[in-house]
Amino acid sequence: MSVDGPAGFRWPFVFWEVGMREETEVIAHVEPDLLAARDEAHEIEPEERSGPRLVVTVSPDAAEPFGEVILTASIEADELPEDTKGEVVFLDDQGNERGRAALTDRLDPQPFTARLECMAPERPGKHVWTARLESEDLECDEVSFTVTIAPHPISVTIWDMPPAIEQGRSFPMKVGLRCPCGCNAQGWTFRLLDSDGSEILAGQVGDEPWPGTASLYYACLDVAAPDTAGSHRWTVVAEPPEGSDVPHAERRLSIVLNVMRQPEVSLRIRARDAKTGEPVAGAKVVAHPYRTRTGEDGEALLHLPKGTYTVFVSRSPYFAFKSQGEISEDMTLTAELHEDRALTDAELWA
Amino acid sequence: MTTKGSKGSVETSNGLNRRDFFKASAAAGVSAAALGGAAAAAESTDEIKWDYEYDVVVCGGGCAGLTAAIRARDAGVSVLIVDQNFDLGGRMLHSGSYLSLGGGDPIQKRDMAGESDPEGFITVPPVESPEELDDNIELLFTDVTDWSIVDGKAQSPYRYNEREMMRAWAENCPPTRQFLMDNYVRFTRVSGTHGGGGLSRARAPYCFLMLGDKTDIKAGTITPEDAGVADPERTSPFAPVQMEDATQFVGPNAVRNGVALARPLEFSAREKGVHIMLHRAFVDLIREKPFEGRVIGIRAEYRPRVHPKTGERLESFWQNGNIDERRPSIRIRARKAVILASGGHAGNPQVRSMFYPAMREPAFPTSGFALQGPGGQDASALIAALKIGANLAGMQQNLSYPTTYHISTTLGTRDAYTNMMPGHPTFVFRGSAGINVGNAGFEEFIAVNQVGKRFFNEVRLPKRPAANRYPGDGAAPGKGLDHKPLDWRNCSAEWIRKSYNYDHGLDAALAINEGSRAPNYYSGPLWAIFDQDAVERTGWELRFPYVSEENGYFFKADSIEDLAAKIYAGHPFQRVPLSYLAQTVETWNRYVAEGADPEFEREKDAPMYAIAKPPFYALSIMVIWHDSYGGLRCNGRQQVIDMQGQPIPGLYAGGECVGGFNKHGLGKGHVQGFIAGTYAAKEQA
Repeated sequence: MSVDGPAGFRWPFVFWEVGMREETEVIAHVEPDLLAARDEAHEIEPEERSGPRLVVTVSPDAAEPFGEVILTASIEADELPEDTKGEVVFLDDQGNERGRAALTDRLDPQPFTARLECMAPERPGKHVWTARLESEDLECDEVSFTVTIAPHPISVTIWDMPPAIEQGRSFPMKVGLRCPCGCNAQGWTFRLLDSDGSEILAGQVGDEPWPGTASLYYACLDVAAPDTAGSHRWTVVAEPPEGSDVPHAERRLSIVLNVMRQPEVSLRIRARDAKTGEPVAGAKVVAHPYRTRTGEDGEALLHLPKGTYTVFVSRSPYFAFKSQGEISEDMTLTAELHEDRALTDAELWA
Repeated sequence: MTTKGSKGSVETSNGLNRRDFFKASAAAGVSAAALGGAAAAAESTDEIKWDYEYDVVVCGGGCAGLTAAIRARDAGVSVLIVDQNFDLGGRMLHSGSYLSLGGGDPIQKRDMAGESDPEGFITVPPVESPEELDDNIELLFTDVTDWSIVDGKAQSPYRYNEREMMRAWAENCPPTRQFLMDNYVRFTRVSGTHGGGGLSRARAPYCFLMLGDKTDIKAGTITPEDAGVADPERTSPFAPVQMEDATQFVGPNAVRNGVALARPLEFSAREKGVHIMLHRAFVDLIREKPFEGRVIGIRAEYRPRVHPKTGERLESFWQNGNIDERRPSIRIRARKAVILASGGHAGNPQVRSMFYPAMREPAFPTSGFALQGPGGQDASALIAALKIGANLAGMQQNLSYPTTYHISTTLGTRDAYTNMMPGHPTFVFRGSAGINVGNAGFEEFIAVNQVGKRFFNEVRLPKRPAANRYPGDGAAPGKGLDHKPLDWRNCSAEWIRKSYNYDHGLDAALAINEGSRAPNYYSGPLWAIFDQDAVERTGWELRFPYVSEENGYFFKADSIEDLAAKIYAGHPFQRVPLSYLAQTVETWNRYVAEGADPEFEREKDAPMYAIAKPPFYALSIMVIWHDSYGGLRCNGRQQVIDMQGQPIPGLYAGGECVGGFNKHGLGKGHVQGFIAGTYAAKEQA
C-alpha cells in the first residue's frame, strides 16, 4: 500500500487511446441492467458440440463508438464441478486483450459467468472478437462473437443567437459541426428547418475551427426572424457527410427562438452593494428573455415590450436579486445586492 | 473480486484489504472464545519478540495523539508516536485551529478581564462581551448533554452524547487549554463556539503566529513564505494550507490556522523527547489473550509515502526524534498503555457505508486526503480495537452533525476541502487546487450525475444548515445569552417547523441512477457543465494550479459529445459513459429559452444561462465526508470499554476514533488526548 491515489489510474491520459479502458471492473453479481436505453442483449450461437461451452452475449446490440460495451461470458454445460474457477479473457479482432473477468461462483444469481464492461472500439460495423476460458478445472473451446458499433455521431452546436429576437428582423447565429470520434468535419452540411419542418436554408461549415476549439468547424448565418411573436421551435439537421469512409448518423438538434414584439419601454438597472452602496459592475441582468450585464458604473439598460417580467440581478459573491412586476413605462430598478459571504470556520469546522 | 487496477480501485488501497483481514481474524477470535476463553492466544505473550519497548505507545500523531504524547512524557515516561503519514499533525495541520473548549478556561477568563496575552501580541480588544464568556463546568456539561436541542436538519447533536465522558471532558477543558498554552500554542480572542461545543457561551479562539523574519516557535513567529502568505499560489512544506489573516482576533501581522497549533505541539513533543516513527501504519493491538488481559503492544507496518513521479520518500519537516525504521512489520511493546489516536473512518468507504450505503462510493474522499494519504482516517483504531473486543458508541451520531458530509463549492479537484497550493510535498496527490466558485457560482452551470442527467436545483446544492453552537443560529428559539438550555420549547414541533432548513440535494446527488450497477449501485461522480460564456461571465481562471488537464477532474472540449467522451475516458471513477449529457444540455437550453425549468424550478431561485458557446467545460463536484462521530466507547478516563462494559486494561483512545461525542473538530481530540495521556502515564508498568 505504498501508492497514493487510485491505483491503476494512469495520468496523464491520452484521450483517444483505446487502451485506457482495457482494464475494467469485474462485477460478481449481475443484476438486470438499469440502463433503460440499452438494447436487449443478443446471443451468438457457437457451433454445436458436446461438453461445456462458452457463450458470450454482447450488450447493447450496437454500441456507440468509444461508448461502453458489456460482454457476458457464461458456461453452458449439463454438469459442472461445483468449485469451478477461472477467468475469461476477451480479445478483439486484432488479437489484443480487451480485458479479463473472473467466473462467478455457483451460488451467484448468474453462476459461472464472467462479465466485462469495456470501452467500445471506434470503427463502426461488425467486429469479430473472441473469448477464451483460462481454468484449471475445465476446458472450453475459444468462442467468437460479434461486437457491433453504431455509426459515428455528429455534434451540432448552435451559439451566438440572441435570446430575444425581434419579429421580422434578421438575426445572427452560428452553427458548428464536429465528429466526436475525430473525423474531419470541414465542409460538412446542415439544413435549418422551421417549426413546420420546412427548410429555411441549407448550409455548410467552413474550414477554420472556431477560436478556442481544436476542430469545431462552423458557419455564421444571418437568418430572417419569423413574423409572428412567440416561441418557435426550429431544428438543425446535420447530414451524414458524403464520401466519408466512415458512416455517420444524422443528428437533429432543436432550438427555441423567442420572437418578441418591438420594444416600447426601457428598464434601467442600478446594481449596488447593499452594504457599501458601491456600484456592482459585471452583474448579470435577466428579464426573460432579455439579458445584459451592468457596466463599470453598475448600470444596465434593457429595451422591452411592455409586460410582466421577473428581473434577476446576480453576480458572485452576492445572493441573486429578484424582483417581479409589470413594466408599462420607462423605469429604473435599483438592485441592492447582499453578500453571500464565504462561510467562516466557525460555521463550517476548524 | 479482483479489480486489477480498475476504476475506483482506491477502495482496495485502504478499505477492502483491511476489512478482509479483519473478517478473517474475527472469525478466528470467535472460535477461541467458543472454547470458554481458555484457549491460549495464538502466540504466548512471553514468546513475543518485541522490536521496541516504550512505556506509552501512541497510535497517530494528530490533535489527540500529540497532546496525549506530550502529557504522558511530562509525567516522566517514555513515549513513542507511530503515524502512517510522512509528517506529524494529522487533520489538525490542515484545520482552521478553531478550538472550542470552555467551562471557564484560561482564555475565556483572559478575554473576560480584557487582558492581552503574556507576550503582548494581542492588540485588539475582546471580540465577545464578558457575559458571553462567563462560563463554568456545570454549564458546559449541561450544554453538551442537552436533550432539547434539535438543529436545522432536525437532528439532535447533544442528547446522545456519552454522559460520563462528557463530564470528564467538561472538567478537563480548562486544564487542557492551559496545557496547550504551556506547549507554545498561542490563542486569539474568543469568537463564538464551534459546532457541538454548546449553545450557551462563547468558547472558541483560533491559534496564531506572528509574521516575522524567521520561523521560531519559541518566539511565536513565522516567515510569510512558511505561512504561505507570500504568494497566493504557493504553500510551504511547513504549512500545507495557506494561513489566514488574524488581524480581527489578534492585531496586524497575525496569521492563524492549524499550523499555529500543530507545529508548536510537534515542536514541543520533539523538544521533550517524544520519539516518532513515521510512514508506519498501526494495524493490530496485541492483548495478553484474544479477549482478555492487558493490551501490551501493537503491530505496525511500514507504508512509506512516496512521490509518484520521482519515487522518493517524503520526509517530515522536522527530523529530531524520528526513528528511521523500515522493516515491513514490527511489534512495539507498551509497558504501561497504548493510546489510540489514529483518527476516524471518514476515509474508509466500507466503514462509513455503515451509516449511509451511498457513501461506499470511493469517488468521494475525506477532507484533506492528499495531505493525509491513503492511510488517513482509515478506521484503523476501530478495526484493531473491535478485534480484541471493544464496544462502540454513538454510531448514529455521524448523522447528527449537520455537515458531516456535504457538497463542496470548490470544483475541479478531488481534494475539495483544503486550498493547498503547490509547494507542499503532497500537492502532487491532488494535482490541482480547484476553484472555489462559492454558492453564487452554482447558478452558472448545470450539475449532472454519472450518466449526464441533472438531479437537483443546482443553486440549492451547496446549501448547508447552521450548526448548533453559540450564538445559535437557528438551533433554538432563544439566541445567544437568551438561550435556555434543557427547555422543551427548543424542540417543540412548532419550532422545528420554523427552523428546518435543509434541501436534500446531497442525497439526490448520491441517488441510484441509470449507471448504478450491482452490487454497490455506486452513484458515481458529479459534474458541473458549462460553456465559454460562463467563463466570460465569471472570470473563472481555468488554469494551473486551480485546474489541471492531467488529473481527471477538469475537461475542456469542442462539443458536448466530446466533453462526455473525455470525461468517460479520463476520470478515474467515471465507470459508465455520460449517455444522456447531450440530450440534457439540449433540454436545458430549451428551458432557458422558455424561461422555466419544469424539473427543478431553477427559475424561482436564480437566472438560467444557455450552455451553447464553445468550447465546453466540466469541473468535478465533490461530496466530502469530513469527519467521524461514531467510534469506540470510552469512559471518563478515555479507557476503551469492552462489550461487557469493562475497561480494556492498558488501552486508551481519543479524538475521532472515539464515539459518543457529537463535537466537531479539535476540542474533542485535544481534551481526550490530555485525559488519556494523564491516565496512561499512571498505569503500572
